[in-house]
Amino acid sequence: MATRITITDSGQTQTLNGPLAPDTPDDSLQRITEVYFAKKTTTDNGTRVSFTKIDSAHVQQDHDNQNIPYDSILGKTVYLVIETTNMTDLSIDAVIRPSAGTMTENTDPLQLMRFVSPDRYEAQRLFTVQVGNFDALNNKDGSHDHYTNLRADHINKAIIKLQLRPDGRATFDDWTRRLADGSINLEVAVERTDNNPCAYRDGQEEVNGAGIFLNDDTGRFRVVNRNTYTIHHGSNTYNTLQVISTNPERRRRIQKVLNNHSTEIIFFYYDQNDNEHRICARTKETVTRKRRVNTIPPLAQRGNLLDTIDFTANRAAGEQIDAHQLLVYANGTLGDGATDKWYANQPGNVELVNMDILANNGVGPQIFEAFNYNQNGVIIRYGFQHTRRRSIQPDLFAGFLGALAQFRQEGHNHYIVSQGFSYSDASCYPSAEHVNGEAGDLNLLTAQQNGVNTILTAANFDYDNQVILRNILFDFGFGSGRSENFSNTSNASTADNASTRLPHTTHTATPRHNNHLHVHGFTPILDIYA
Amino acid sequence: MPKINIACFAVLFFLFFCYTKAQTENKAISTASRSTDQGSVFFNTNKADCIHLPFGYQDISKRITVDSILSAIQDENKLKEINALQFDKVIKKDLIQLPEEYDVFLPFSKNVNEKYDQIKIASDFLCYGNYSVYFMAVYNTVRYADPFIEKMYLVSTKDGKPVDMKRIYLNHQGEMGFAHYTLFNIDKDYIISLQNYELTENPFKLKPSSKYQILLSGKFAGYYDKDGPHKNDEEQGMVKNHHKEGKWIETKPNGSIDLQKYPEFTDPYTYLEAEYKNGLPNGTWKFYKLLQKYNEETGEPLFNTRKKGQLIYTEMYRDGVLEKREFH
Repeated sequence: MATRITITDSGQTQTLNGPLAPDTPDDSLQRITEVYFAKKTTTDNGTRVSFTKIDSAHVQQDHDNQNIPYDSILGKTVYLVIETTNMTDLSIDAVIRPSAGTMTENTDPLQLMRFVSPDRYEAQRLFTVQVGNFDALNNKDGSHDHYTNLRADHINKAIIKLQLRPDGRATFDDWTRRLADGSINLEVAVERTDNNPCAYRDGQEEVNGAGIFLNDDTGRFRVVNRNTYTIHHGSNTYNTLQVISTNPERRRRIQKVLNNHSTEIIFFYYDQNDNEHRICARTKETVTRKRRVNTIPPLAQRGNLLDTIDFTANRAAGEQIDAHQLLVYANGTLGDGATDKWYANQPGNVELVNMDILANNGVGPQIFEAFNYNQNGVIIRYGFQHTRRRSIQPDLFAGFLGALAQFRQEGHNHYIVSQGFSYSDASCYPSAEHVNGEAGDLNLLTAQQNGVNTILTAANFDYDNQVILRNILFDFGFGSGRSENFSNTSNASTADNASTRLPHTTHTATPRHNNHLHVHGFTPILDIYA
Repeated sequence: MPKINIACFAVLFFLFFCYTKAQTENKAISTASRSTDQGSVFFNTNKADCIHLPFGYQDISKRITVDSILSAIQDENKLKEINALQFDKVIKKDLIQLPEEYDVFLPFSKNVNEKYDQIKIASDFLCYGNYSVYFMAVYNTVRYADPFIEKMYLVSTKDGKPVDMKRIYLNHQGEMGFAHYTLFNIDKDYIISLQNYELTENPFKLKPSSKYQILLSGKFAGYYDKDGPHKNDEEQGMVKNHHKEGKWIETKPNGSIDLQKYPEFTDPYTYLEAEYKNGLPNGTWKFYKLLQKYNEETGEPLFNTRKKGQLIYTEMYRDGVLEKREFH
């Protein structure tokens, strides 16, 4: 504490310990200096950890470097960090409560899911946490020893890892219904567990009672409704999702939080060091499921013509699209091409997202770049060629993003180019298998790495990296694939000199699969409440 | 000498280009005459470049499984033989504006986009009496880094003038692997055998092969091994001197039927009452809608449900030449 001395004879006042002393908190007090929500950030190849504040004073940005008007999402995992002085090993109680009754019809502390062990989150309303305890940073093996700066940098912090959700789906749905398109501010009340006094922020004295944080405009924690996907790199030791096979251990890599009151989806990727990357946001569209049937109904049975999607200009410009046009009727879609096909509406809906994030205009045979994410060491780049089938189910899109991110992080620089998934109405002329955004085709990889297509037997076919990509796609959920048996003695790889086939594929020559990798059979991603 | 040839070719090509540009308002009939007038410019007449027969895929009749067909399609040596025909003269699409059969898949006139599909005539050709029959390739330049031959045609000519054309080779790689192929063989008697293959999601089914012969008129006509009554799933009639003769009934998909103009139709099949003379269309052809039902499981037409529907259009032929088409 600064010492202030008044010399009464002269009326002068002299302050000791320097000019800033009057505003400097007494550093001998037991003090909770800051309480904030954060995301974990690591450096030095995952050996040093820090916490990045996420609140209205520390606005995050999206992949286009645009400010995001909220700080977190219901259901998302965040860290609550309580910074202290002179309180090492002491326990602190914290509660998190909404600043208004919008979401829960009151402002009572929220019961939220707290990380208590690598395989368990527990519903708690009162979070008791010890300063200098780093169990919240435990990985799937229960260890945090890989962080070398914990004692040096974080010994005065109390850290809670939690998910911004209640323990039951019904309650979650109530919250999201009430919140709708709005935003709720969450504030935090903290107090020593032993109820002894402590100072808060830069207070000059230790006081009894709780300190309230994030409750004014200097920094608010704004939470909204969104659907989220959390996608983990295969080497991320913080992935505690379900083990699906052992020796070697394989886990599910993706989890989602379905939000029934939002159509927006945010895709988050957690790299090999568990750094969070907000990859992109997509709006999901609900469309009627389709199935290709062998007979085209008479006009009178097709229902009203709702839309016509014409590809004349695309085809004239050299795009090798088989459909001349799609006639979207009330009862199904007629694919008009060399041989017309009918995609009949089926019971139920399917949700699709548009993969073409960049939405480049124009027509032609060139590759249309659809996404190019390049931030903080994560690169996801893909495009489309000779297709306007650019819609996919959100689950598959999460797997696709994860696979591309990991492939690139492992040092493979190939431009990934797709030959398409489904049309936006869930049809897929002329195929039957690509309906409902559940299957896709990728150009084969080449030594040139430029995305231009090739065939399995060509001299520029990059077999070795194609195998790697196929395996990664498999690990991210694309369980089935189609390719052809082949041998290739003209390319650089020797592994395909004798007859072989890409892993996790079946030999399929009807239709041909010598010029693309077909992936389907995606393992559905489980909801966090599953 | 080759340099002089190239120079002459370039000049003539330019002249032809100017000529065709000036004629772009003309319709099909004038196009044919233009081709006739200018065709000789592009055709090699050096008999030393006549190829020896047989040429093509001699064993296509033995290839009945998908694997054996793929083996032929991907046969690098065979592709080298084809490329050895020396497709070195780029031509404009207008040069070859000749009618094709009504049931042809991906017809030249509608499907070849010369901005992206390079069209080339080979130097080596087929010598057949007074006729020279040239190989014309359409290259796909946009699917891969290197162009490949997607379609190949035989163009029969007399005195350097195109008379008729027939597609003999197809390597169409559509979306999602839907592929259509045609392999050919030209035997020592100039009989052209064609075999179409469709590799789609449907179970593979080998289609009947077809044969063609170059007639004395330079036109291509269907060739049948045996004379007498002929009947299969698609056509029935009489064969005389190995060619169609008299009245024939044909039930095939018709490329001239645009389903968007006939939304009440659910397929492009027609029931054709045709007439042939010495293998060539003659007289009045009547195209009716073919009414048929389908197997719900396979999507295949049920032949016993087929019957003649409404008259759609008629064509009038004289000695193989279409003189009039009339829609009803």
